[in-house]
Amino acid sequence: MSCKAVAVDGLLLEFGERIDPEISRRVLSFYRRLKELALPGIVEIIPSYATLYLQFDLFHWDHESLCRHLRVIADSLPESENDKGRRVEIPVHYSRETGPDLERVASIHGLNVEEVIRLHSQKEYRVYTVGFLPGFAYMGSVDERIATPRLGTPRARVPKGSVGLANLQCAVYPLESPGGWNLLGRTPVELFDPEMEGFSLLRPGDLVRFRPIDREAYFAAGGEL
Amino acid sequence: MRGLEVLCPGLMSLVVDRGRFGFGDLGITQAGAADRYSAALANRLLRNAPEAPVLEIAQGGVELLAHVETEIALTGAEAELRIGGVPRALWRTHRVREGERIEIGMARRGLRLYLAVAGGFEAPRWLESASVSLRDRLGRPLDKGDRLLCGDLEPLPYPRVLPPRLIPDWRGPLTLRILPGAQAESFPAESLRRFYSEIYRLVSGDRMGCRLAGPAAEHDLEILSEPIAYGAVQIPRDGQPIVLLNERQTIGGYPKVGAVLPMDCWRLAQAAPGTGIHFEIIGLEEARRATMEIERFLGDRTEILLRKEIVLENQVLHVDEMEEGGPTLESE
Repeated sequence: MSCKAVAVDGLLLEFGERIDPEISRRVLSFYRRLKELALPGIVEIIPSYATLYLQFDLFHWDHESLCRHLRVIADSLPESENDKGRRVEIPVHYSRETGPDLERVASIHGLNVEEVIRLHSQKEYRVYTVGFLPGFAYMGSVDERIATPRLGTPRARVPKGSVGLANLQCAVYPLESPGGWNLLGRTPVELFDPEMEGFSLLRPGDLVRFRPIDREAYFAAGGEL
Repeated sequence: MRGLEVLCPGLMSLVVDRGRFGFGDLGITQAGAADRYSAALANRLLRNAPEAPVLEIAQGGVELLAHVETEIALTGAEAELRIGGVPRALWRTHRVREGERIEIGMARRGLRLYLAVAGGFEAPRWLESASVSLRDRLGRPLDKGDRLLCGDLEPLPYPRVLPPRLIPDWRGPLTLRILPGAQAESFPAESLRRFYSEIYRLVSGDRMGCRLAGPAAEHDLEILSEPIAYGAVQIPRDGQPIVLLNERQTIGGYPKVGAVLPMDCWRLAQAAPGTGIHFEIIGLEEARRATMEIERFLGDRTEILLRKEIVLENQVLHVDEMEEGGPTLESE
């Protein structure tokens, strides 16, 4: 783990340079530990694929004292750790109506729509990081048999709740926004709500499964078209 | 309802405080006052908590009607202020009586004005902050007909005035001090030399960040998306720098030469398109010292006593210098 000053009150911890479940496990286990410890004078703790960013209060820490403290904490963490994330299940209505790219993804890979749905919903995904929008969780890894690059031209408007696929990653759009991911379906559940406990359904390190639901169940749960 | 009624909301006026911290791991951006110096001093003048909600007014053009007696301070960009039709100065406190209009003209120099009221604005909060965040869709800009509720008035015994030497000069060009970051050493030496020796121009800016144009600082670096610090200067493949500010995305995949010091970011947020910008490297110790000095001054830790002026019929009868304190505005 390297510890670099990247702002007058910011440190970047680097654990590697790849999207790799093992590197991510180390980032997220450190992230969880720091959240538990709730050290005084730490303003932000933001994990990404292979890095962890800390913003701190200048009157509590300097880069050197904080790095030293973090190394002691890092040394106390177990070498390898099983995934400890919360398990979250997200109901998804996969269909042409809610997933305008479903058929195209199927045809690119010479599969039928049912196979794409099965391949996407049978895996458990890890939330590597959350960003882009509040509650937008970057999840991986998608089965290589359905991995599909982003659209050449992003859509100006992706509906809230859309489940998207980009290469080996997938995500759910918590809010309507522009976006270039391949859309397979939509969930009726809220991903982000300032009034909700914890604010965001998905957090770094969570383990996520998508459960296919039919049109009726989608509408019954408050889904919209 | 008591408070200030919005007769004219201006181009974009937002209630802001220091910002929203501690939720970056959920993708929530910091938001908050783009020019924290001006925002914090508006509060300091009124003896509010430095983080009390204020109104950030982009480019001026705001008209409010008081349904309450209060005191206000307007800071930031240069613009005309009228209270009850009478021209008034910025960077000092004023009494406003019920039924009076507060008229704020268009910004002449600088971009953003900060209006504070006695006791701060009583505004809704989301995730521990009153800052409206356009990116995160928390709150919205002010609209005609809105009411801004004011905190309790505990009248000041005398108007409080900021010493003129502490009022920023909004004219360019700017020198932005940069603390080199994680990828600084990976950029080609020639690109870095160019980056720190040439003049860039501000092309466009908003609360998310500022785009600059100038001699390209080329590179072929590829990095994995990583969290982004306030003031981070990212350089896409075209070599044209982008300085990321209050409503930046929380993670991103462009390499960064480093991060501009917070107080230089505040100044950049007041710069008009076309302003010339020069970057200068600063060492960690020096950056830390300068930032802590300004943070202390803005009242995060200690009280500073502004010059007190007792004014009667426009004549200064008594000036009590007390302890002036305050930082040197190095980037000015």
